[in-house]
Amino acid sequence: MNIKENEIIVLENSQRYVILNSIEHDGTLYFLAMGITEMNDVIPNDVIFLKTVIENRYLYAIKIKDQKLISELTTKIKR
Amino acid sequence: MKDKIILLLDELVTMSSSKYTEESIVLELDRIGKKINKGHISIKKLKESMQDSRYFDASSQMIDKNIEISLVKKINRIKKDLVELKDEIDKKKEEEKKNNELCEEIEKEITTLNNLINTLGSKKTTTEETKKLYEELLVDYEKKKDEKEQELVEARKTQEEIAQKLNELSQAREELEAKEKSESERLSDIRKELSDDNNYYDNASKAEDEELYKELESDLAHLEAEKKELLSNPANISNDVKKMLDSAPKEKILDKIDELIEAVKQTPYINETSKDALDKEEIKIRSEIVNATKVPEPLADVEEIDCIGSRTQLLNMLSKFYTTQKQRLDEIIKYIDSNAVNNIKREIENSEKAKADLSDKLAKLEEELGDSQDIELLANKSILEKEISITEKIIKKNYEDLEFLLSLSVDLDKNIVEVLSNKVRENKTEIIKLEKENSYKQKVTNIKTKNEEDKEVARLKEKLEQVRRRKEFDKTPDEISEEIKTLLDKLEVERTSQKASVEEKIEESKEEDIEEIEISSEEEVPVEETDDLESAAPEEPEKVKEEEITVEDQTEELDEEEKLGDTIVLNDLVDEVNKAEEAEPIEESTPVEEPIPVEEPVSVEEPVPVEEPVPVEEPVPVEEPIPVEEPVPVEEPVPFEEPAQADESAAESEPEEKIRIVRIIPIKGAKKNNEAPSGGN
Repeated sequence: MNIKENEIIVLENSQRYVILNSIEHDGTLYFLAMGITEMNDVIPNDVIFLKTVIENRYLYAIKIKDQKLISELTTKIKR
Repeated sequence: MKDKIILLLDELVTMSSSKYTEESIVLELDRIGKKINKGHISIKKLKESMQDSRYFDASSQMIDKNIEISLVKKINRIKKDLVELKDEIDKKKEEEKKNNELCEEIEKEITTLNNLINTLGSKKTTTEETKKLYEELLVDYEKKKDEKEQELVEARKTQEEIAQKLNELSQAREELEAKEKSESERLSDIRKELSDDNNYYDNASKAEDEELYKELESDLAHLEAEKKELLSNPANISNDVKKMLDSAPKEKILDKIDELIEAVKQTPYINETSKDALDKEEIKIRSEIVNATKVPEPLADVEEIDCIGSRTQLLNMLSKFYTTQKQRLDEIIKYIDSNAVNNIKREIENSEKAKADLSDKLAKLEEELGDSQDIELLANKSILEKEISITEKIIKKNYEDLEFLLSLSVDLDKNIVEVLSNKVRENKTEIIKLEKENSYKQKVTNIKTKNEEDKEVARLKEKLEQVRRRKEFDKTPDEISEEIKTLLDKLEVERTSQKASVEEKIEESKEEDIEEIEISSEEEVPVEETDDLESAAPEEPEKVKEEEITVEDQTEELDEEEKLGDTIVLNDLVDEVNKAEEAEPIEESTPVEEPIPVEEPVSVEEPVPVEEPVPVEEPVPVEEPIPVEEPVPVEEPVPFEEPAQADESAAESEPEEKIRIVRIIPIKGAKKNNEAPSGGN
């Protein structure tokens, strides 16, 4: 069970993201996501890369903050 | 006395309403008698002519027999020719064989000579003498060889001639054999024909004659029946009685009179003695005549089921329904052709324009993105790409709708509207046809009713006439019969007395003659019997005349009464009818019931005007988020890499922030602000 493109995820902290793209990098699946409001309006400056993990049967989203990795993922997606 | 009886007999004939008079029935009987005789003669002649020999075609049989004989002769001749031909062929074959042997022999000789010549030619000479001998031998052999060769040529020529002859003979034999076969077949056919005499009978002619015979017999039977009827006619019986009055015994006359009375009694109402009963009957019949005349025509129609009318109504109703539906469909087609199609076209144009704009934006964004690592721009690019994809899908859908509507319009027009139009036309044609048939039926019904009415009225009038005729007579046939019998008794007495007086007078005259002879008297006493008879007769006709006058007067009076009676009765009935009409006016033709309207078919729904195109394929299913408190449990724990292993480098740089995903909502497109997010902030 995992997330995929064209899905909205709602996080525990009520943040909502729409998954725009997915890309595999070094054996891990990363997702390009854009924040959206509760009214499903996009928040243009809230764009993140994230990956997911499952712990104790729960699915977690981990925001990617490593600029190097972000740069690598961006380059890969641009291709 | 006799005249009185005759008058009474005439009265009986009149009572019987016989259409014949005594004179006409004699003529009629004579005519029928002649016809019957003629019929008998015809039947007799026909019967005589209907012998088997008449239908037997002996000449054809004779011809066939002659053909048979000639064919037998011909076949025999052919067989003989064939035998001769065979002999000739055998001879020729023998000749051919011999000739072949001759040829072979010559050829052998030639071969031998050739060998000798070759041997001599290769022989080496030793002496002049031997050389000369060899040369002479060689010349001799060559000469012989030439001769043999010449013989061989001739023999071969002969061989060819024989072969040709044999060929000709074989051909001739084949022809003869074929001829023999065909003639034998013909002979077989002829013999088959001759074997059965029935083949020479003209059965058709015989059947015709039999048919004619039956017809003649039938005609004769009719004539006999007619004759029998005429013989039992009161006019004829009356004639017989009159003839018998002078000479026949009284018993026979009485029998005949009884017969006459029985015949007269067959006349309706003739035995009715009560005048009141006759009057009542007359009124009743008159009333029936009036009723029969005013038989309401539509009555028959009401009782009948009017299929034509019913069908016409149904057709009219269906035509109306088809026309209405056709109009509705026309409107739908018109709407599709004008509004719907234009709307979709407009939408397609708009979508394509939007797609072009988005493509431009994407191009600019890509340009702007360049080598930049800005993930917001990247996200915007991704969004734009998705929007373009969605727009393309919408354009595709619009085209599909356009295609559907156009095909719907064509299908409706061609398959339904045209069918409905045809149906309406067919119905109109059928209605016209039915109307024609209906008018014909009406005519037939009217004629039929009129004829039936006429027949009924005629029957009643005849009945009325019989009643009136009966009223003309005061006496019944039985009473007249009694009267005739009394008169006959008197006539008998009169005859007897006359006979007695004549005999007496003859006796007296005889005695006087004797006396005269004895006394030699010169005068003769005249016999006055004729005078007595004649003097009695004239008195009766005078009385009869008086009676006739009375009867005529009474008849005239009756006629006047009848006329008055007719008028009165008819006037009464007309009044009754008028009253009845006032009380209950004759209904006009039964009003045609309004056809039960067929339920309007489920109307084709008005096409929904094409709405503004939705920018996304389906509305975004924005579901209510599940309350955060209850996290969505992951159904199956998927073996997953340890997060630490998955992103070791990240872990090294910065501790990862894990946030639990509490809800996943699948979408096909995300709602966004009208303005596409441009790159940057």
